[in-house]
Amino acid sequence: MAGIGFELRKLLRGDSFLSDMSAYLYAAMVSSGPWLMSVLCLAVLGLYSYSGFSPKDQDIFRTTIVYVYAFTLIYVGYIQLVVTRYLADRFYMGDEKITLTAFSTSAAIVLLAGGIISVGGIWFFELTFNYKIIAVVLFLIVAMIWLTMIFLSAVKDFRSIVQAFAVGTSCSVGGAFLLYPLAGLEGYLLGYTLGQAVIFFWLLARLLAEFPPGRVWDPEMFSYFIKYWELALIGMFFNLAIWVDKIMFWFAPDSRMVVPYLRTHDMYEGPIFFAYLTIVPTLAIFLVKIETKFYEHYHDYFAKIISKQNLSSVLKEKQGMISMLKESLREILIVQGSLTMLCIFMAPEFVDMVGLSPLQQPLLQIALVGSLMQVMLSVAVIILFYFDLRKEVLAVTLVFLLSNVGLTWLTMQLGFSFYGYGYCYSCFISLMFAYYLVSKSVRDLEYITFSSQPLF
Amino acid sequence: MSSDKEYDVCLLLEGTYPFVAGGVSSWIHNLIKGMPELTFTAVCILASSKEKAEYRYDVPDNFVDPKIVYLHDPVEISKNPFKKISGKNMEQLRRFHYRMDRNDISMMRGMVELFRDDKFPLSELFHGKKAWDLLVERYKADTNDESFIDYFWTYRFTHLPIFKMLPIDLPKAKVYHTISTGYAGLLGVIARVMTGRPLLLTEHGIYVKERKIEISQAEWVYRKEDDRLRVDSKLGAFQTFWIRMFEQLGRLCYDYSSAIYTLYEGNRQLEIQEGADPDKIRIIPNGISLDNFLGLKAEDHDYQGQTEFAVGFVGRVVPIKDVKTFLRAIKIVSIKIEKLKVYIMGPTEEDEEYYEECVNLVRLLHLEEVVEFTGKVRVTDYLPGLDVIVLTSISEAQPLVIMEANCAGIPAVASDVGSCRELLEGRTVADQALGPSGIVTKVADPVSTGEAILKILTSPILRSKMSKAGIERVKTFYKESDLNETYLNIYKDYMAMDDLE
Repeated sequence: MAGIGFELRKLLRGDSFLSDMSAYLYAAMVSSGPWLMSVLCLAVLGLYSYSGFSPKDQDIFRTTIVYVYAFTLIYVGYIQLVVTRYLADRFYMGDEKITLTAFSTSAAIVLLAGGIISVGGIWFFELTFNYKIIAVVLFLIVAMIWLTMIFLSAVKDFRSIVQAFAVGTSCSVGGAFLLYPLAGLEGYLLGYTLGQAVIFFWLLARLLAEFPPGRVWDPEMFSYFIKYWELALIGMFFNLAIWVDKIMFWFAPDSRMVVPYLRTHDMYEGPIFFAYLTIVPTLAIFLVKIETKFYEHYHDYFAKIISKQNLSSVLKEKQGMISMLKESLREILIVQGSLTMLCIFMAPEFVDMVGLSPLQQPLLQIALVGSLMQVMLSVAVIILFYFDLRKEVLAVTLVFLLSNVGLTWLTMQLGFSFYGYGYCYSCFISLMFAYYLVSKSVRDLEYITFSSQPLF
Repeated sequence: MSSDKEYDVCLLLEGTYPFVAGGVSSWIHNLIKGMPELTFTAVCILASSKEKAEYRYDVPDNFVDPKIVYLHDPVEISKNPFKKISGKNMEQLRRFHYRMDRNDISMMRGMVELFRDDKFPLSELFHGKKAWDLLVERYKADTNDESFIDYFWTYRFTHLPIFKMLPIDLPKAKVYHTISTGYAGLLGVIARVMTGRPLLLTEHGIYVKERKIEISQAEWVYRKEDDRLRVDSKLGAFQTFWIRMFEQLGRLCYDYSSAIYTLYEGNRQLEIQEGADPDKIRIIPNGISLDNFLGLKAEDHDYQGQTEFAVGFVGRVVPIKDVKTFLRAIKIVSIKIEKLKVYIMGPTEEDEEYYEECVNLVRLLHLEEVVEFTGKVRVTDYLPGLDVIVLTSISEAQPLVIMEANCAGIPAVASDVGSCRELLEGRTVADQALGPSGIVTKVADPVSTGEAILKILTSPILRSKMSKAGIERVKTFYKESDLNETYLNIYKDYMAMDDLE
């Protein structure tokens, strides 16, 4: 009869389990943060174009970058959360040596499968051979950046991540400008790729400096794909859900083929990407909030249970956690809401400034609302992850994916004036569903915590 | 029921025969061996399959197809999202609990039937929301001051073995006979409810009392720090939880048993205290096989003029036997009698520390020349040379030592525990008429123990009388063959009985 409450104690004993939770948070940041940098990077490159840099070249380049980001994020998604969990568990057991072993193993998978996918994907596009080669390299480098970020999240070294991206993004912009005169479009992409390589190697160096070297191959990691299959699906489908409306629009009747089969949708993409930039403050606020205040309540709640308190004092602690959550959500809503409102009112000026068409203004406005929903959705998902409710997150992910597919298809039928509403409503529905699950889970928290305990 | 084969008697055993050696196991072994005309089967409850289940007895041919149930083995919980506990059944479960709190067991039959109809899937009982709500409700969230996490685990650990017992397939038998209350007793209740065949209960020790002692000493049951430091012996809330469960199991078993048998009057009183109907209880003392002991001391032995004496103590050297009181009593005897020899016969390695203390006490009392620790020996080798046998135990049931002493014609001095008084002074009127076969003293009283020993050693006539009374007593009332006959008659009566409602 020994081992009473072991699982619960495990929850509390190590900081490592909690670092596991914040690792999920990082994983979420990974998929939002750096890609914002890329949007910024594209905007800079788009604003200052060369004389003689044809709009067609500009389109090819921009579309390539967007494709690379979209598909690497979806592609790496399946490995992202599983590896996160694997690392957290291993760290909990004090096995930090495994880091580089797990890294080399997953890098091998990412590179091998990624190489096949990217070569297969780009082969039929009518681009020069050199361009295709560089694009494949870019795909692999960006995929490796996402992967490296997961491992670095264990170190929690935000500063070097930001530094790496700042320097690397500058190098990308600089490299593109420098190499365009020498090799045209291929040089432009090569310059950009070199900048991304700087990011990757910067992060890799940090990773190698942090962890001791180990074996090269780690077969145990694979069992996690079976044990935590929900995480693999969530990682892939959530990123797919974020991108699926854009991808569908590339095939809309009014989309444009840049070169066979590189497609883009001029009217749709721009406003969506720009709207996306507005979520930065929320992510920053929420990161700080959840790492400090929420974490404290979360910790104290379980500490009360472990330290053999009676139920009413445990429930009192939970009340504190609930009001803190409510307060944070209110705060986020106020900050993000005001910003979104401001942007909606400023939309005409903004459209003018970044060179969008005035026709896109309503689309930008609805996309702004959609981004607000999406960031709230991410917050809800992170909270669910905190309580390790993987099945619930998977349900939210599937709702998000399916509603985005369905509603986007619907708006495409309804015509231009409805564009963006599909994405926006999909975010809204998923958010409501996720919010329902969060409030239900928090209400039943003791039940969920205790009843899920294994019998032995 | 799993098979169509019908046995005469199905024994329900918890942690004993044929896998664990001991007093009760030997009793069962002799019982089965003593009635070859009946077929016995058994459901044996063991702790876990990790420990090897090896037969410790050469089981008789009429003991067939025993079934083993492991109490603490991990259970497979199959999940089926469509199998829920209905609101109506949940309400039954709730009412059942509240009635059990008030010692009302009237809903037991219904609960057993619902469980066996799979109306309460394990996954729902342990992981479901409705069962959780009942748990919180019974914890009394607003007023309870006890650790919730411990309540939760106590709930699980107390209920899991019960949930495991409830759906078990029992062999078909004409009579079910449980040798204890507790989990085996619960099996008996289930058998009684499901088959309508009578349930018999024989208790050697009182299960509920033994569990109470065990639990109040248990370290693993959590108690609040301030409770432990308190001087009084108030039990923690979780110890109470455990004890209450065993009490309820005990009461259930007493209630569903058609007859209750125990060894002596003291046990009967305890059973009544724990809720057994006095009319159902019958005392059947243990018997011993006379062949080994009769005639060890010649009946016409002449006790006159004896100057050298030998005193025997048979038992393990452990605190519960209170060897120290015995040694102090011997000091008193040794002052009066010069040529004295004392044998302490029993293993000393069970509690090394206590043995060490006893050896020191021997030295302190200057008894080195007198007292000898023989270790584990064959008592029959020593019996013929002994003049008196002493037993100073703090707790006993029906000690074999006294029966053997009686049988061998050696007077005994025993503390007033278990059935010692019955064995030395007689239980029934006819028994008492035989006269005493020894002297009963107070527990932990070296002076009266010493005086009793002296009295027996120094009066040859008394010794002679006691010797004869003892032999006669065992022959008349404690013969193993009589015991078997008694049980055989009981079995035959109940086997012939019509199905009960």
